[in-house]
Amino acid sequence: MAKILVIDDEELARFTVRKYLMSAGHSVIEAKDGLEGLALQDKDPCDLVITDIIMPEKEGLETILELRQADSGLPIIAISGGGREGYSDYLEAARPFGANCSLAKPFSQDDLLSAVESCLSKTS
Amino acid sequence: MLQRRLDDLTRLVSDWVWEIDSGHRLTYVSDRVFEVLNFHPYELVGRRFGDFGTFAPDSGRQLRSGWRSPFRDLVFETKDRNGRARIFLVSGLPIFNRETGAFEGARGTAEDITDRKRMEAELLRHQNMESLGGLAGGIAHNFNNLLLPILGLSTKTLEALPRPSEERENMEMVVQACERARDLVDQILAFGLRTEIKRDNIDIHVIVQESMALARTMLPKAVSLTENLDPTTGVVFADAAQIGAVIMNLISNAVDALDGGKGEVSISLSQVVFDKGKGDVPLDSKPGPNARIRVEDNGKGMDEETRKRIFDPFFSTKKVNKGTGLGLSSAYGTVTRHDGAIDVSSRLGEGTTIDVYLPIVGRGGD
Repeated sequence: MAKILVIDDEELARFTVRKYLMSAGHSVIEAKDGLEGLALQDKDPCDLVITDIIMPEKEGLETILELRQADSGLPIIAISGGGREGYSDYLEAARPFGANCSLAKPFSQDDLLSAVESCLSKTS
Repeated sequence: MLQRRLDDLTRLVSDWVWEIDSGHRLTYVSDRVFEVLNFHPYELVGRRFGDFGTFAPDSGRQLRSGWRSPFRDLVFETKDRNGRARIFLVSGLPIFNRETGAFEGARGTAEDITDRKRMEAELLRHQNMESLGGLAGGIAHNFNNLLLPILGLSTKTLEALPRPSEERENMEMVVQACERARDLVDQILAFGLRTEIKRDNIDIHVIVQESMALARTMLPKAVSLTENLDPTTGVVFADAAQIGAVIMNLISNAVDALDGGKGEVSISLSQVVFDKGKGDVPLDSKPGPNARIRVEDNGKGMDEETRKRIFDPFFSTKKVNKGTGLGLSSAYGTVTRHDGAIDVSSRLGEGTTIDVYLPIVGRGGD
């Protein structure tokens, strides 16, 4: 089972994602924005990072870019509820920045767990 | 000399010139009126302005003096011979007898501002759509963030509840409601997000034919769907899926407009050529050859107020839960993003016609 860092400014979103991940036996570390997430990952690296895109302090795309620069093999999943330009744009933009895959909120437990499995298997 | 100069000017100015007598009846109308209203001057002479149109309420108040004071830019609405609305700005000066001072009438001009008014209305609609698009995207983002825990945790709770049980039944309703909310947010996003359009040169006849085939499989039996498609209409630069969705949307709205679910919906496809500045060219349309997709129904039609609002986001005449009010505004957004135009005409009780225009970029039917 993996140790997963979840970065999202929405506490309710983090809570839900944690429940999803723990049901599959993963352990979860939480960060409320990109800045906190990068610091946690630097101090105690996780096996996979799930990050929201639109966040205060440090945006998700910037966070993904810095995570990727620090670790080229780290599996990263981008999540987003959409935005002014629509979620498809943001989630599509996440890939060139370094995300392995992306999910549009609201996603189901099955959606998330299969994305996690797929990312972990490709990078293991 | 003076008379000749006046005659020349009257003939040259784009406004039409008028004169009324002390009883407010027209005694003179310049020839120019024929070009804007399609009425000969002699058909209007002897009539009052109020016999063939109305002054806007604010303008009407200024005429309370019985045309005895100078006035400027009063809004006058009328219809041309073909029943199309025309709007004028009427200005005038009173005429008094030089010796007795008695009121003898008035004379002035009427400027046609129909196109300007239409453009102002369209511009306002564009601005509203733009700002609402941004707002819709923002709302959808926040809703999706909230829907993640609501839908996700309700589903997890539902799975843990024993079956059958009242609690499980209740939770199933919660999940169903969440799923409907998610679908609604998807539609809001589709409206607000300016989905990337993947355009290609495609034969418009093929798109319309495919949409018709799909529509036929979904229509109630009581609805008669007829078509008149010109296969040589032309090639347009468009996203086939999005234009197909627009056509389906218009057909679906036409069917919904049928009284008691019975009636006729007809689709036609043809080429029209717009010459800038001539005739009734729909605003937003490009000059030159355009494909015109016309969807007509003989349903209940709509009044002018409804017609003005049908492309407004979230405006719906359908019953609660039957429509989101986003279908036609999405269609409007798609068509304008394809450099096209969309035009609606309708009469209450007689049906509605919606025309979609897309610029033609090449020959069709090859």
